[in-house]
Amino acid sequence: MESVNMLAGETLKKLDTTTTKINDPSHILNYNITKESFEVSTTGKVSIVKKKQEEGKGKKDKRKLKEKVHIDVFPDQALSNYYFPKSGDLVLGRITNKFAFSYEVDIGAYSTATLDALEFDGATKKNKPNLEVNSLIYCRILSTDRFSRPTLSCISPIHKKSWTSGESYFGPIKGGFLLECSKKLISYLQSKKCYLLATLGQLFEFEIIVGFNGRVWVNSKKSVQNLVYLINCIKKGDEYIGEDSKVDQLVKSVKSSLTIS
Amino acid sequence: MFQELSVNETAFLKDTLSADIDLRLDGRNKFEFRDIEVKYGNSTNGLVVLSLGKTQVMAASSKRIVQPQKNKDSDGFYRFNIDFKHLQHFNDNMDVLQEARLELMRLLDKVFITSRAIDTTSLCISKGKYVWAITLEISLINYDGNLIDAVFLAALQCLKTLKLPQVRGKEDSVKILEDKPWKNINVHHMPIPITFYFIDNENNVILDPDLKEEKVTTSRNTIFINVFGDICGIHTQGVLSLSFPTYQECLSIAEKKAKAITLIMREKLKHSEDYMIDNLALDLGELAIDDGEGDAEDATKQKKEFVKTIKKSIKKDFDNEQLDDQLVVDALKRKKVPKLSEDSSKRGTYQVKGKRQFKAKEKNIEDEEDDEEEETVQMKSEFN
Repeated sequence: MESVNMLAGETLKKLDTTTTKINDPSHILNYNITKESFEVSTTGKVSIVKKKQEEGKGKKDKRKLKEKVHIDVFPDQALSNYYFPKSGDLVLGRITNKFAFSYEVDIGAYSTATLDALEFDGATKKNKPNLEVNSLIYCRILSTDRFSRPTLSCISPIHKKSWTSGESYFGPIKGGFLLECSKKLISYLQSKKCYLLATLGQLFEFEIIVGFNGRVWVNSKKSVQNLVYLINCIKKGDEYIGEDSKVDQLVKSVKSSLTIS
Repeated sequence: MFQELSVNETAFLKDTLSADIDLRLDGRNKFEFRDIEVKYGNSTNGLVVLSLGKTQVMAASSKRIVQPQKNKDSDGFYRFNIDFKHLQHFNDNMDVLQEARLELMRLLDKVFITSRAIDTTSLCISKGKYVWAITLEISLINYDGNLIDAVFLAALQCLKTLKLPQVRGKEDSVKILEDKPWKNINVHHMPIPITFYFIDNENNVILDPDLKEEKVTTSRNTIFINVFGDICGIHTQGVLSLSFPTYQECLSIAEKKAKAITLIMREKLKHSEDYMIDNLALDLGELAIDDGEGDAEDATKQKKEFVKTIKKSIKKDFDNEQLDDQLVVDALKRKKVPKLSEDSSKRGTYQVKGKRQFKAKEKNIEDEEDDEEEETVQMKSEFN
């Protein structure tokens, strides 16, 4: 059996043989279907049965000559708000499963990622952290192919502090709240001159982590009301990117709507 | 929808939603609903798109004339069908979805029919022969918490905007009166659902939660209440130890909310012409999910081309007013359905052979010439 991977909007060509059956349960294929090529519109899976020219005339020959081709379709990068992992990205993940020597982490991509249990600063077999399911982790992507499962690590080559001390750069996170944002907002929050965060920083203290996969972690230790105020400002900041004058209006309007001192 | 929450989020939400600190991310109270918006389409189908905040539900209907059951000569048929195809892409296990789907379908039957908001006897045309059969089709567009309320409110709006043609039943046929206008269905009262979501205690109560707030909750209880204070149904899910005085407070709150929501629904029905859907495809594209598009120009081009293909297919059905009124008649004329007398003879227990068949065919040829002036309709019976 053959397996092919392709992106949405592409056309498969050079089918050497004629096709007999097409299993398309989720209606992926467009109407432009010919024997030699066909288009794919959205994500999903398709299976095709080929039919070769028969040389032998017995029944056994017919069964051997049938071949299947499985096709997986993945979405295009620019059109949607979907995350495509790259090596070197800094990412916020959530643990879903726990195995003997590794963890399974949910990133928000087409598949989950793996994290070795020894990928922490200064970790050995007898001295390694014990993480729980459904806990947040800040980590870095080591390697990905176009369609394979990515691998993660919490080792930072720059900051050399072991995981036993609470000052390691990567690792598990406590407290705060998680948000999910669009690609626009994240690129704005990562810029050097972010007017939104500067104005909010003048009002009160807070911590923030921005992940490349669309997730933002936020915390303010002193009061819970400030946290709620912060979350609302960031959610609505999607509309006021690039216009500094409107950010001031935003900050005041959110204050009045929540009736917070 | 089926992803779990992290430990940080559950701790935050449980602290803020407890009785000590009453805070929500939107700035609402515990007992405050989100904004309800409705858009209307064709009145023949009762097409309605309802949005409770960001959850969006679409309701439409289809109708046909049918023979009734033998025991119940004058009862029509009401059926409810729900689609969760939007959620199919996010979950491989369909067992969980089918349980939720069956639960809602049975609830719709229970509440609307046993509380007598809808009459099946009003759908009768001629006793023992012809009867209306209406099916409501509800489909999910986006899920952001509180499914039950959105589905029922959309079904109510659909039933109130539905229209049936005026019909006269004869011995062997049914005649549709084209000169007279179409009429609405009899909806005697509007049962409105109000669901109470509990978090481990009877003191922590929420109305109308978001997606993340709903995952923190453990049990829920819905009360279907009328404007006049009649309880039309109660539905629970989960395990909880409740005391009666807290439930009395819930009932009193539900009465007030039901009155407020019925006022909103009635206002939307009065001004339904202001909220019409001109272009179905464009409105659905705006109302759909929050997947924000990138800044690429190719996206807009592809969207416009996609919209054009839909417009062509829609214009044939929805723009011509004449076709809308003659939907039932024309669809059947294309199929060239034979008369009832022939079908009963073929489908029945006895089978006629020989000369009688030829005689029946000769009769139909003569009858068809006379019936071309009148526009009659003969049907098959599928519900037997």
